[in-house]
Amino acid sequence: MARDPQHRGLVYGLSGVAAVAAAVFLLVVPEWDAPPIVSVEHGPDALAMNTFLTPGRGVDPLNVLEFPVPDPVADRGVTAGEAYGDVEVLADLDAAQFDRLMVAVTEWVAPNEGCTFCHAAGADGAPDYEAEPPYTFAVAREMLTMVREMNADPRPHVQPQGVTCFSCHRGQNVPVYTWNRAGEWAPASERWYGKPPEWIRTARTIRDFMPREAFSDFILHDRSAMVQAQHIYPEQQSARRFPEGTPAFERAEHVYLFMMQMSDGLGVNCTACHNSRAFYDWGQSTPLRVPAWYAIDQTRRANLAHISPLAAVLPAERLGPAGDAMKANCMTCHVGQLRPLNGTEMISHFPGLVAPSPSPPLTDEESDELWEFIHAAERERAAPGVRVPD
Amino acid sequence: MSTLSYERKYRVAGGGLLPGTPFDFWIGPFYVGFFGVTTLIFSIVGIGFILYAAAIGPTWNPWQITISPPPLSVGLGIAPLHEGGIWQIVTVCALGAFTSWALRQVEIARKLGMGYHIPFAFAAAILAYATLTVIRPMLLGGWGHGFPYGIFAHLDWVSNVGYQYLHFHYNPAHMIAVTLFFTTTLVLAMHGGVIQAVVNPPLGEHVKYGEHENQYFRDTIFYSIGPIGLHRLGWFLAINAGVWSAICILISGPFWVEGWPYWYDWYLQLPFWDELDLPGLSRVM
Amino acid sequence: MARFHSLYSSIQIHGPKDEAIPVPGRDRFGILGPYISTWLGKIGDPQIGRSYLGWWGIASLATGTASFMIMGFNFWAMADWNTVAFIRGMAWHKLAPPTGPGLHLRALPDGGWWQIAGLLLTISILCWWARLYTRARALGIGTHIPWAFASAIWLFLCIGLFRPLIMGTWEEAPPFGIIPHLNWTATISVLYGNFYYNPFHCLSIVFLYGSVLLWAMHGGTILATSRFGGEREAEDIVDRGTAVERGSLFWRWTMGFNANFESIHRWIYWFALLVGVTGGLGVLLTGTVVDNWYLWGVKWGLAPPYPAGPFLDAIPEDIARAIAERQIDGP
Repeated sequence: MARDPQHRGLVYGLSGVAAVAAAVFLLVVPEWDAPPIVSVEHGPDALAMNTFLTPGRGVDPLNVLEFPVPDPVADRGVTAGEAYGDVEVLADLDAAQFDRLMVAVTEWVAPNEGCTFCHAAGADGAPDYEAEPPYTFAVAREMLTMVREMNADPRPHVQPQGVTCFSCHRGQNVPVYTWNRAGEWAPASERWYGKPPEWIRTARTIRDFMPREAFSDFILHDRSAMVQAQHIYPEQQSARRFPEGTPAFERAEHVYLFMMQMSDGLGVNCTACHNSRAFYDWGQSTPLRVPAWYAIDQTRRANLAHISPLAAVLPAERLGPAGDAMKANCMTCHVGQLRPLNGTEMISHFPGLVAPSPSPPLTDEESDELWEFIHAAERERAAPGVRVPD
Repeated sequence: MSTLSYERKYRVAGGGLLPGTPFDFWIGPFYVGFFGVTTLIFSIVGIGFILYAAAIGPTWNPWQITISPPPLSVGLGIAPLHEGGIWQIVTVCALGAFTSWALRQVEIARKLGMGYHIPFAFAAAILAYATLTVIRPMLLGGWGHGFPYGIFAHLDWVSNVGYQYLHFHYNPAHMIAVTLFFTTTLVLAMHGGVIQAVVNPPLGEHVKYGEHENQYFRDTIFYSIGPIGLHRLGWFLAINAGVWSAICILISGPFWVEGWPYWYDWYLQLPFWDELDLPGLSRVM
Repeated sequence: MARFHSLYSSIQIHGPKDEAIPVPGRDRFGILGPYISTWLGKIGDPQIGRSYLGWWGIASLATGTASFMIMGFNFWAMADWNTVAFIRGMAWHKLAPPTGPGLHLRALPDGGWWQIAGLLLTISILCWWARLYTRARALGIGTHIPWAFASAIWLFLCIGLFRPLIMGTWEEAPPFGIIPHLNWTATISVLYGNFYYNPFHCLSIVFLYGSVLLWAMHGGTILATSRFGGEREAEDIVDRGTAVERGSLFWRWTMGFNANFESIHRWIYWFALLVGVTGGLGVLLTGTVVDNWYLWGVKWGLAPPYPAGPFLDAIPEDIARAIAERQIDGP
């Protein structure tokens, strides 16, 4: 190295250090998987329609929780309505089963707070069922209605496992994975630049970072996702190009984004339901597409009819910037698994959580009324200066 | 007839990779050599099986003929002939033929006193093929993860593999590979263009050489890499296009099973992004 | 070993710098250098510049910079002038085209900035083309490079201008931004039924891969014959040396056919050029002539059949009804 007029040693040294540093960074900082990899096939052989799973990857702690089930009890022979008076949703349930369910719900949603999470506390700290309850009482009532309605829905999605509060709450007051709408922080009339980005700049994960419009379109609003052309030549394309006034391109990006978030929430990928050469084609789709279709419909109803109206009763810290309640999406219940909680049987332990008959679909008038109510509540509750989206 | 006017003096004996240089002769313009013979054998067997698979298959439509790998249930075992066995034989023959071809290029390069740059570059292409049909399926635990041999069948496979990772454009190695493909093509057009431009000047102009090539690129893009450097660049870019393609599919599955967009969590979690509470995006104004 | 294979220049001789070839007007516009860079000299020519600006160059750089600044300032403004948010979201920032039907100019926040940035970028690229053309004429060489560049411009304009014009909406044009333009690429394929079945997309990829293959073959041939002076291609075209003979015979013996030093440059030129030409056609026909490329492929017998077994036998009746009610695709 005494004679090295071109500083060859330095060149090799520096480039070597830079390359090694970059390689180490990319190997260490991002999360990677490693073989062995397990594949679950969805479609025909040799068509790359399968999901890959890694037994080696760390599991979400939410997915290894045990489902709390109190011991079965004998009926008392009186209904909860007769025994307690002010019982609205579960009035026809036997009082003993009602008590058992209340114990379970407490374990599912407020294991640390106990009964007084939803009922007023008396002077001695014990629950006072006669006093004016906190806001959580109204929320719990609405959520019980929602759960019973979902379990009574005969369309294949939650059967036979069923859903309970634990499906989403997993022992937390608020489920871990929820979504809020992003408000616009500068009205269009007051800015000279385009719409601010929809992604959330405080997000720590890509799942949170993605624009929420995709959720709004399909599991809050009832908007058509059928933007893919279904004929060879562009006849009557103007109808498709601007569905419901929105350009097809923007709608298609939202469909794409929604499907990605849905796949990620379920721990699968596009090929679980579709042969990607013809996404629209049901004849080239797997049977899984049917429950997925119903699931979108059910989630939309849950968000619209049961969760969003809670904007009127929830305290400010439980609302998003646009004044909206924290809503559900596929991830909320599935937490990255095709069958939540590894398919644990739930509803068979709690027959009281099934409504006696399925609810009819919402009529247009009912939807409009709900939206009117939700918008009014959200506009009132939105953070100052934030515009509530449609 | 088949020899060029200057060819005779280059047709020298010996110099092969194997002792005694077996099959050291030419047929027409083709050099044979030991690896020419192995190439031929692998090719005949492989193509024969492809034709056989087509014959027992449902169609002779060339766009639709499909030779599928074994079902995933076969794992890494040997499949029955009609359930992926043909695919396995064709794959072995293809790898044998490609490798023989590369070694034959080495022998020809030795005869002509040339460097091994061509077989080296070809090896990158063979590596990419082997990654798709051997290395990645082995890491995933089943030959069924190889791609089917068929024109539109392999496109359907590529499509589905892309959607297995939800949005393949987010794959960082795929980004690099695509950039390399486009850059290679750009540099190729510039090179082909300038050489033709200097030796095919407008009427009444003299043929030009390196001085004008240099000046053209210095004038327009500030720097002319020069003739030798240009070929180093093009060769390097082309090889890297192949290598990064192989990397981008190798990491998809064996080393990352989710959608590629979700790989970027680490970026959002880098320690130097402060709380970015911006108006409208959180309750705190 | 590395020296033997000419992978880098182990010896550099720095003599007097190359003087620019005298061309009328170039003294006035000469810029930058000449400088010598030993680092660059390891791979290629060590000299940078002396370069040329010219009116076309000035116009191109000015409009290109303006376009770039419009994009950047829009991104920054959308991040509420928060510099950290601006940098963190660099890959995701999006300057979107106007939505809705109609090709008229829009207000700045509603896609007007996109229209201005796109117009300036187009002017910049066309000025760059003129610069390539006038420089080639000034130096007395052929205009092959500007025409190859025209192929790339054709693809650019098909995507961002011609197709939106035919469709009658800017909505179909891609946004400016790194991830957003990738999202656009993925979306247009889904929206129009699967680009893998677009025959011009197929051809464009064939030429793209073919270009890379040809570069590997040609670059390898020249490097492998560089000890015989193989890189002096123009000279060898006019006066064939042993490098040409060896390079030609290599391919003749390998695959029974060889180009010569001139014709190989025609091969590579046309392969590279056809990437843009065919790609542009593929884009231009999408949504204008063909709405679903997969179904087009089915019509022409391209799509292979797959076993029906794992797929759905029939769509449930209530889903079929719900879909029919919300059908936005026309009958």
